[in-house]
Amino acid sequence: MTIAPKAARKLTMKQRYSALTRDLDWEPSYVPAEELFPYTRFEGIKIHDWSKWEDPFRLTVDAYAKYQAEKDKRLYAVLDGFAQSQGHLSLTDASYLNAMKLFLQGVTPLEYQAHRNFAYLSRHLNGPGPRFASLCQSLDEMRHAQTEIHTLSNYNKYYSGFHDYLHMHDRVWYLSVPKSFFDDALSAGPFEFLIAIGFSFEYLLTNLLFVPFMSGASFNGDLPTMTFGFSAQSDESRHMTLGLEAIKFLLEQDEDNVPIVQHWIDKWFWRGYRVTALVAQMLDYMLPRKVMSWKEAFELYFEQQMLGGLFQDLAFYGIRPPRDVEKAIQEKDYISHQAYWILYQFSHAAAFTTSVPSDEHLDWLEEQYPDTFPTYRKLWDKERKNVENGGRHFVRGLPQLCQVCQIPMGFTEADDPFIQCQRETIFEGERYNFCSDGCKNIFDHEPVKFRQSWLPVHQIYQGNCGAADLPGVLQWYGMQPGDGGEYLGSVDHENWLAWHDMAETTGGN
Amino acid sequence: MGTLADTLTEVPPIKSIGEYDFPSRSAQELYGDDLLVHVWWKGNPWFVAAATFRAPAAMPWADFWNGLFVPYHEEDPDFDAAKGWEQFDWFLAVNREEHPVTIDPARTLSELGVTHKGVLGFRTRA
Amino acid sequence: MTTTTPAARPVGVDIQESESNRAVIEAIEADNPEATVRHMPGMVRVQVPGKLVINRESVEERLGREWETHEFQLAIISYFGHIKEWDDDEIVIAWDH
Repeated sequence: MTIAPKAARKLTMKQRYSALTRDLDWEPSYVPAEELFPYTRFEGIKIHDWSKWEDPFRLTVDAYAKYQAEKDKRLYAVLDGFAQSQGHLSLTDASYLNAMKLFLQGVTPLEYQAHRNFAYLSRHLNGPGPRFASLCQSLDEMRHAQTEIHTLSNYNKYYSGFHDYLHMHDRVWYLSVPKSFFDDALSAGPFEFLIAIGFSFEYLLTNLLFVPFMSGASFNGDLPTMTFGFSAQSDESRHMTLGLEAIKFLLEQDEDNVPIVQHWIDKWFWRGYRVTALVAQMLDYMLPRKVMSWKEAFELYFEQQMLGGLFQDLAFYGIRPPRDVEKAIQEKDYISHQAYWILYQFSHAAAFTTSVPSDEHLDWLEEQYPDTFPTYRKLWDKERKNVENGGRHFVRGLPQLCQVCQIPMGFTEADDPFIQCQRETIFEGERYNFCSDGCKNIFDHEPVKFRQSWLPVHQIYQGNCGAADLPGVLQWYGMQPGDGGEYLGSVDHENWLAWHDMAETTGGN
Repeated sequence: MGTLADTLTEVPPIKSIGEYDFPSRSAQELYGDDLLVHVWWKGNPWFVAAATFRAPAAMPWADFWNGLFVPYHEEDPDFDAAKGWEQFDWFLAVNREEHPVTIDPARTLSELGVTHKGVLGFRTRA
Repeated sequence: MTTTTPAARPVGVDIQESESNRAVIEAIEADNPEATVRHMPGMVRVQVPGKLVINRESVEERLGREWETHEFQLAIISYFGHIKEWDDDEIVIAWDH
C-alpha cells in the first residue's frame, strides 16, 4: 500500500465536492444558455433544474487523480511481473486467447469511442455535476483502451490474431456487430447516449461482460487480463452510478420524459443484449476452464440484480422492464450454442480460431443446459464424423445478416430450436431482414437510420471490400495466415505444443 | 404474393438536428441487374443461417441451382445434389409465413417471384 | 416478476480478493449481520437484504491504519442497488423505492 496517511482536512467530502465541482460553474452572461448548450433540447427531453443531479461518489479532481494513479501502478506491476516470468506459458491453453483476441478486436475500440462521446458530454451537458462525472468517465475510458492494449500487447509477441485490431474493427464482418452498436449510440443525441451506454450498457449489461469473464481470466492463468478487467471494472462502478443517476434524473425532472426514456430502454436493452451473444459463447465455449455458464451469469447479473432489484425501483417512475426481455430470458438456454456455432463455421474468415469441444466440455455443457444442449450436441456428433472424414465444416459462402444487430441470422424461434427466426419490413419499397422481433421493432421505429447500415455481406457483394474472393477480402481485412480457422494444428497450437515440450526438457535445471 | 406492400405505413419522426434522410446502403440499384437472394434451408441447423447470394434477376433457375446452390449446399454431407431440386418444397418466406413457389428450371429468378433481399426457403419434402 | 419491498430486496458489492481488501470484507460482515459471502476466482461477492453499510471505523480497526472511504474505489468491482450515501464515515447501498 503506497497511499500516504491522510493529512488533517478542513473540509468534509461533501464540502470539497461542492467547492471543487459545483462552485466552479457559472451562469452565462455573454450568450444565452441555449447557445452555450445547443444539443440538450432537440431530443424532446425536458430538464427544469440541473442542480438536482446527484453524484454519490462526490469525486473531486484531486481524489480522482490520486486513486486512478494507484490503480495504474498496481496494474503495471502485474504486467511487468507476468512478462518477465514468461507468464503466457502458464495459461491453461493457447486456445484461451481466442477470447482475448475477440475482446481486443471488438471491445477495446469501443472504450476509445466511449472516451470520445463522454468528452463531448463533459462539454455539452448543462449541469456541472454531470459534466464532471462525464469528464471522469471520458478519462477512464481512455485509460481502459490504453491498459487493454498494453496488457494484450504482451501476447502479440507470441500469438496470432492480436495485430491490426483497429484496422479489423472497421472492416471485419463479426466486428461490425459491436462497432455498429456503438456507432448507433454515438450518432444519437446526448440523452439517448446516456441511456444507451451509461444506463443500458454500463448498468444493465457490463457486469455480464466483465465480471464472470475476468473471473474466467483469473481461473485460466491470465492475471494481467484479470487485473486490467477488475481495474477497469472499479471505474465501471462509477459509470454504473452515472447511468443510474442519469435515468433517475431524467425521470424525476418531467413526466413527459418517461415514455421517451422507456423507448430508449426498450431499444438499448435489446441492442446491448444482442452484442452480449459474443460474451455468452466466450463463457461457455472459449474458456478452457469454466467459471460459470452464460445461463448462470445471466440469472445472477441480469435476472436477479436487474429485474429483481433495479426494475422494481424504477416501477416507481412508471418504467417497466425492457420490451423484449422475455425473449432474452428464454434464449439464455441456447444463445451461446447458436452464437458459437456461427463463429465455428465462419472462423476461416476470422482472426480467432475455433474447434469442436472435447468430450469433457460437451458433458459440462450438458450439465449446465440439461434441457437444451442434448439437441445441439447432435450437431457436434455430426461434425465429429465430418472431421474424421477430413471435412471440417466451414461455410462456403456468405450468411444472411440482420439489418440491425448485423449478426448472421442464426437465432431461432422461441418454439423451435432449429428454425431460424425470419422477420422483415418493407420500407419505401425495399425489403429489410431481421433476426428477431427485437431488432425488427428497433428498425421500425427508425427506418431511415438503420437503412444506412453498412452490412459486411452486402458490401462485399458491391465490391467495396477489396476483392470478390475470400483471400482478397481477408487481405483487405488485414488478416494473416494463422489468424483464423481451426485451432488444432494452427500456428498458435503448434507453438504452444513446442514451447511446452521445451519447457519440459529444460525445466529441471 | 402480397409481400411487396409497404408494411410500414407510418414512419415515426427521427429527432435530429436538421434534415436526416439518407439512402439505403443495400439498395437494389447498387447491384445493377443483380439481386441479393437469401436462400434458407428451413429446419436444417447445419447451415447456421440462410445464405446470401448475388445473382442476376434474369438468371434461369437451372443455372442458379447448378452454379450457386449446389456448390454451397454440398458442404452438408447429408445433401445429395443428384436428387435435384425436386427433393425439396420451395417457398418465399415472409416473417413466419410460407408462400409456395413452383420451380420451373427454365424460368428466371424474378419470374419465380424472387425479389431483392427476399428469402427463398426450402425444406426436405416429407 | 414478484414485487418485493426495498427492505427485502438484496443489494450487494463485488470486491477484488486481496490482502488489503480482506479487512474491508470482514468489516462489512461484522456491520451487516445478514450478509452472505460468495467466493469466485479473484473476487468476493457480498450480498445483504435491503441495505449494505461500510463503516470507515470498522475498516480502520481491522486494517490497523487510517482508511478514507474513497479508497473503496480501489476495491470495488461492481455493485447492485443505489449508492445512497458516500461520505467521510460511511458508504450505504440500498434501493430507493
